[in-house]
Amino acid sequence: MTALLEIEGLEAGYGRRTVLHRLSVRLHAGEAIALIGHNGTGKSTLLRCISGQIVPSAGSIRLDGASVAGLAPDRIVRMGIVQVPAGRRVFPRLSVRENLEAGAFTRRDRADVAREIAELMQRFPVLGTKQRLHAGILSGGEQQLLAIARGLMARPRVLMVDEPSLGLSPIMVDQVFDVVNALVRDGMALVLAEQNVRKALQVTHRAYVLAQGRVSAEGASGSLLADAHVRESYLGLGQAAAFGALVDAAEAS
Amino acid sequence: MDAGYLLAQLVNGLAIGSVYALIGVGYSMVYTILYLINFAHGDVIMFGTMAALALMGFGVPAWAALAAGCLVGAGLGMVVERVAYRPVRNAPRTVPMISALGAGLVVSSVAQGIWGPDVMSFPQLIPRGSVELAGVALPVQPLAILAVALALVAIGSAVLELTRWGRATRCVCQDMMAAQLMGIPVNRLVPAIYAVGGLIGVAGCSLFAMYFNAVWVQMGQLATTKAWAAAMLGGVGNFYGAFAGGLLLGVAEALAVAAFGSLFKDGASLAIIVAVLLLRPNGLFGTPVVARS
Repeated sequence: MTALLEIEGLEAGYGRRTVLHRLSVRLHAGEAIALIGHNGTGKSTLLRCISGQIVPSAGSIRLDGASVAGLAPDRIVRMGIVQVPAGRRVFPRLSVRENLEAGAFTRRDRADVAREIAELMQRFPVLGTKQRLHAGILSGGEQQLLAIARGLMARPRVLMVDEPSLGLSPIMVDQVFDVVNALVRDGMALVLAEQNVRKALQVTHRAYVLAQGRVSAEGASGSLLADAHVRESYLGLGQAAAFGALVDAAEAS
Repeated sequence: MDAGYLLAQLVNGLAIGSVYALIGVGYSMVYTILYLINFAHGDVIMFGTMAALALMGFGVPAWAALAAGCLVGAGLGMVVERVAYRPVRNAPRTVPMISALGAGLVVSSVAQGIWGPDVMSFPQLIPRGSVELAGVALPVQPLAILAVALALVAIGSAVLELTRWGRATRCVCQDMMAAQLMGIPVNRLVPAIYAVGGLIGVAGCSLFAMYFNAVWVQMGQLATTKAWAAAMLGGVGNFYGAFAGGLLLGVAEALAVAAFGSLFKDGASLAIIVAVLLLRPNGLFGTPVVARS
């Protein structure tokens, strides 16, 4: 099976500083992958390369076999790769409805756009009731829902969601991950870059662990979730669990 | 100071203010998108106005020459963006500012090479004289200028609010990176915004030239100052803010002249820049500009 999105030997950076080193990632149709890793390991840089905001210095990015590396960001959106940016970045002085319409900028099928906006407002009732308000006054969680809905309005073939839980309250984090989970179950090909590793591994099929701009581990999300090294480095469970065992042993004796 | 004199100054202030508003709108949009103090704006629109005058000198019908001058301003605005701003868009903010200063100097030097440093008169396309309304004699020219400005702004706001590209422009103004991720071709839209700013600016500058029956190469720098003050007063990031700021600035200048004499006219706009920066850095109608990484 050939991949829908195939990234081979990607190198990229800012100025002379190389951030990504010969990175390879693939995403199949109907699959959700997580990119996990600490701050500054290259997750955002990778997404920026894919969405065309920075041009990679080497390697290839292919969507269904067609190269997208180095194309202008608007061309890449038209080809079907859509990024929901980190920090939500909704248009603050556009209404909620206008934000959704902005997401459909590349489309000309007005009737379908209007129908899909209505559907999204049913799916996320808060967007419906607040559709005339400026997006800037929504809560962080509501803005994140809007940002995802806005991304969906472009009818993506690949949806990339960058740090959706950033800065949200725990309740809103759960809600946002419910939405991501629903997209995955609907068969959306999805790339999720996320620092909340446990949640990210729970909703995706496969995951890539990034460290210093390289893929340091990859595999099924479920098995990474059980992997001792991942537990220790990214879930903060290793030492705590060992400590817990120590306490248990001390108490038992 | 009698009421008639004050009314005359008020009408005068509205006319000048409309011109400032037209010059300020394009300036403000560029500032909003790129955080760039566009020092070349005034020189670009001066160049367009000069070009219109030159075409009239060659016997081109006045209105056609004015339209062509607006197009020259639009084209020159795009050229300046491409040559002087785009290559340094991601550089630290002082770099494009210096580049803008340089671009303005180049444009005004070229204009001076072509047309010389002297003040020239500008054809009166709108008749002077007055109409009587409810027993009060109102001068035609300032009111016509106000009407033209209002009409242009109405067209501009209709485009911004109602069209697909207008909404895309608002997106780019609010968050350029997010706009790019929506598939909005920012690198085509930004030059278009420069072009529209130049076009409206030349219209404003030509009205100014008509009103004072004067046009000269150095007026570009004056225009930049006025546009800056209008945008600052109204608040950047806001199409209507810059327009309202321009009108207010014109009225404030006229009142300063009425109160202290005409020497204080240009001082008033500079004082407003300083006062706004000190007291209300977001302007009267502006929204706080949040720095993005």
